[in-house]
Amino acid sequence: MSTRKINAGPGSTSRPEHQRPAQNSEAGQPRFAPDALDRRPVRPSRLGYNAGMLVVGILFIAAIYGTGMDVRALLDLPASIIQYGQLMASGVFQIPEETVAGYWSQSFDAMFESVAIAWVGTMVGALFSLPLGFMAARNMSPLPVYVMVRFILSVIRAVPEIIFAIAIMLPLFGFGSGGGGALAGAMALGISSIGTLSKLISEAIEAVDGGPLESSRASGSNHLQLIRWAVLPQVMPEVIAIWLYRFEVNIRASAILGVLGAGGIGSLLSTVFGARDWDRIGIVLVVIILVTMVVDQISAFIRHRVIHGPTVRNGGGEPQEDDDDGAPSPGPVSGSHSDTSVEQDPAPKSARAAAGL
Amino acid sequence: MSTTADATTRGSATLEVTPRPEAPRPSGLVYLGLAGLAVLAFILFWATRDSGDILLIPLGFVTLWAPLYPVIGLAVMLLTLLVCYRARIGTMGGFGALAFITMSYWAGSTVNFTLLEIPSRWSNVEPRLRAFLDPNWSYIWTVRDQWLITISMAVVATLIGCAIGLVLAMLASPVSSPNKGVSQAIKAVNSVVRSIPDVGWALLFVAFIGGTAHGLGPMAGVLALLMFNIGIVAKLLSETIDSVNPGPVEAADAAGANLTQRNRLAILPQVLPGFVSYGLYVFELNIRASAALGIVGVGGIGSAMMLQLNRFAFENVAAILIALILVVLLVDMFSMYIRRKLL
Repeated sequence: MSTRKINAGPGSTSRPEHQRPAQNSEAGQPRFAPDALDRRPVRPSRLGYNAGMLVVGILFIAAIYGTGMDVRALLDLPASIIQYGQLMASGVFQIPEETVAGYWSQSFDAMFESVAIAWVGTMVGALFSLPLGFMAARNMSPLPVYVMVRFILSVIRAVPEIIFAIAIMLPLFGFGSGGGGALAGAMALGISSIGTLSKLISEAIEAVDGGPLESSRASGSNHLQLIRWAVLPQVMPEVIAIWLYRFEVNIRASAILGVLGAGGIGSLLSTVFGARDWDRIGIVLVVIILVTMVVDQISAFIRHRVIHGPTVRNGGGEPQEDDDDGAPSPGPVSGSHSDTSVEQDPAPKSARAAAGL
Repeated sequence: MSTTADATTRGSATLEVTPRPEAPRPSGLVYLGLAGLAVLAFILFWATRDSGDILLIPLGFVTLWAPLYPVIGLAVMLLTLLVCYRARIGTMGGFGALAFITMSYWAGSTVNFTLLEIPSRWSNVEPRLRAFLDPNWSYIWTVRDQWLITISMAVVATLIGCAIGLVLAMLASPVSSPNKGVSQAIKAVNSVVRSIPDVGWALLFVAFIGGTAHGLGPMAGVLALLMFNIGIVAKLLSETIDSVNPGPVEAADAAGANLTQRNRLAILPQVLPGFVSYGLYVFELNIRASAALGIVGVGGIGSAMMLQLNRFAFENVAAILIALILVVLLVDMFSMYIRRKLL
């Protein structure tokens, strides 16, 4: 009753409370005329939504015509998937005698080379991204620097990595996995990672808690000391998570550079697909899936560990003395720490990292 | 310990000086174990080292021969461990530093990292770079059909991929899936789909149904982009669904909604903004990817670029690449506009 009275608004305050069940009155007709506030809310117009869906539908049909793709090709697709899938499966499950074992080890070598390319690329990107991230953060750098660095970063982000590879890196370092192609791929990935990494890092820096900044300014620190003691401790876990995320992305991106001649799994993929050697294709795909999933799992574990600290790993339920980490944390302090850090859970963060790519 | 006890006993008489708290000394035994790990890594690197005289870590002032490099790597690892120990970094941090150095050493030696050859090889780059800086502007307009195909492919793949990704994300998140088994199974399938790179899908579908040479390039391209998009959208969206506000879900349950109604009315409205922005993000990715995938025989601008690249017509390639940068910037601005308008 009381809530209803509160919700009734100014128009109905004059009405006495006991007259409200008007339907039960002996005359069978309401003693008051229902005003606008007694009606159910009007359903909002869906015109904009419907028009939007219509536009999307028209766009979709137009795009299907625009590609000029032959939909009849889809009819043959299931048959060929089954046929080639059987070929690939027989390749994967055959007994690994000498040549087949060679295929396996060759695939693993190529995939590890891809991982190395991605790691070096991420390190090159990380090296440049931290200073550039500070320069691109509004609360850390003067306006001219901020504007200039932001502009440079958005240009770098707009250039796909194949452009860096084709235009600069491949002629500079050479083609093929033996002749410097791997290094060329790594440098191309590194340069193109700078844009995304710096943008994400600058956003993390801008979202930093102002308290430590203020207190270190109050105790007379200069700009470098401010960065070292007030900003870096706050953003470093997030920065490491961003770097690791980019490492995962770079592993996948190195494949396309490999097709261009940058070594790694991409070169092997284009070779085996060129030869239509379905046994080896199956083996290569299985190796890609295995290695990528393992690397993703490790990287996700490290990201979780870096952001949440060691306590959350054991479910966070029971008080666990952290034996392997030397951090001096008595029980209640570590508990409150885990509580505050649980609020920033990994899902939106990685999602944001991806969406900013 | 004894000094602090001394300080407190004397402090009662003269002046209360509480010493600053210090981080506890990490366990030396574990650090010895980490040093053992470093030695193990050194033995591994020594056994698999290249016999060639390839430069791995150019120091600039000295030329180091290849067999020395594992030794240098070991020295760097041990030095890092020592620094970590003196700085009283916990054993987990020390292990992280060791793993980082080992990984970097391994990756650097795998890709033969060196920057010393840049000056001598710069002459290779210069003519090409000059060609890129002087593009054939008249060529840009002649490939407009290929651009149309590229953008259409991106649109089709984005729309279908987002739709399928939405369904898969609903099934994959434990909040909205029918039961735990379905959620786990879909998650496993999704991580397999996501671990194959886009060029892998493109090569697969070109092999399955034929590429540009058969006039079927766009179809293969759309299918490849589709798989690529499904992986991304399902992963991101299922994580968004995981962190949805449980209030409306509980309300829908209490009002007797079944699973479809609950997902439609309590979860979908909450994740819709995220869904739209993931869709726009995936569209951007598709434009870049479909330009790149043309290399492997999928239709679109990439195939035109590959053709010119094989003819060594770098002016034309440069024109395409500049147009690509422009298109990517335009798509970026367009998606930012939509995002601001809708969300």
